[in-house]
Amino acid sequence: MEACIAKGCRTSGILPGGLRVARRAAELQRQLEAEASTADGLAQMDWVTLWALAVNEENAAGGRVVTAPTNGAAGIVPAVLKYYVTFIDGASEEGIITFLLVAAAVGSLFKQNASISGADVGCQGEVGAACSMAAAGLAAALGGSPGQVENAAEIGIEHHLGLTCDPVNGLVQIPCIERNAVAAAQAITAARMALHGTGTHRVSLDQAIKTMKDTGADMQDKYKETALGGLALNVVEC
Amino acid sequence: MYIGVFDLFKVGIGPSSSHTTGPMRAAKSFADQLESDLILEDVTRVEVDLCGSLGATGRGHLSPEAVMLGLLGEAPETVIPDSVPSTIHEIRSTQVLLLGGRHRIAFREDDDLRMKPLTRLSFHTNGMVFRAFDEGDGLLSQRTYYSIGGGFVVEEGVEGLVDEASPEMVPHPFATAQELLQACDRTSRTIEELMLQNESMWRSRDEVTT
Repeated sequence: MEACIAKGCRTSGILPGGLRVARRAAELQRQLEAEASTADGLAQMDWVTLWALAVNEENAAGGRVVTAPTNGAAGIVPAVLKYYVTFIDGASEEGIITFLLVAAAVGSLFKQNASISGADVGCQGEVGAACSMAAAGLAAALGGSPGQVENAAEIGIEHHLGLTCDPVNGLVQIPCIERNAVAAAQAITAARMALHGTGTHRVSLDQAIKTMKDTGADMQDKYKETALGGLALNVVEC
Repeated sequence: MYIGVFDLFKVGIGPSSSHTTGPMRAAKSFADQLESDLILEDVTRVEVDLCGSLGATGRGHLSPEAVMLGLLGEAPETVIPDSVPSTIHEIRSTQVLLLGGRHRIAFREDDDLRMKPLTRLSFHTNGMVFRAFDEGDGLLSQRTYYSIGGGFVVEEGVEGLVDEASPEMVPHPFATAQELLQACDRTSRTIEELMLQNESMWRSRDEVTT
């Protein structure tokens, strides 16, 4: 994951596939380094954005990535993990292991009880599941109780319910790359929200996962990685 | 079935786990099967159908390239991303493919690798049908695979995941979040402690944590 972030951060140019999408990570890193002395309180989020973009640009270029839980959603877990490592005082090797173990536990719940395939349930199963995994991993690494961790995972998926998979030109670029950056920020918000609570909450993770599965079953095929609906239809190729 | 840390976090290549990594794994499994059935050398032609979503967005997701790499015997974990373009270029320009990495067959992508977006196989939209023929065009082998997301692949009529070796039994099985939380309660352990014990069923602690 680390190597993929690093490669993504130093590579610029145009992504393959004909959409002429420019890679942004390298330029963003340059800007963030230049702004370091004048950075405001939310500058950390810009770095999270950078790391997520870097991974998904590598992925779009056919580079080596780690599924988390899929390729199209591969930027969220590494970006949030790097947020933990870089910005949390007292971050440790043990914390990284905790993060990944807990994220995997949550991922296995999605895999077993719903789906992590955009062709099956839309993007909620990819970016939604990844956001939930990252939120849970971060909450656990920050010392959350099992109840708080479950709450973080639930918040992470709940607000992605219904999300479609409508890749422009059938490429894993628009909206996928940016969506990973946005979802990484949501995962951090979800973890922090859960850690400020007691772990007791209204919607359980199991209910949210079942809702995702049911919503995916109701979703028309044109929103399931077929590039026949949504942005894929309205964004005209130039 | 237990799904472990290294099943969810798998090394592969972009741009899609279901449309690149999965098809590559299925194609490699097909080639491996031809080899273990001792019929690899009788094959003169291979035909592949990519159905449903794979047929619809497979081109943008490099699914055809992934299938060709898999037929060559390349695995997603070990293929060198930088070598992919030249490998694919060679197959396309010579119309020859080294099946299983060693047996020369003719491979005309336009005829032998067919995109079928309107064909939806019943189990999952990401269906793939592989057929191998001999010199007299007799069918030697036919297998159907599904790329079910995250790089996971199943074969029709075969239990379990293709190319995965997770143990059936773990100390703390859980199918739902509720069961997981109950296990935490019962054992007074955290989620990560239970997961580490589960992972340790088939990997040492050091292997899990490196």
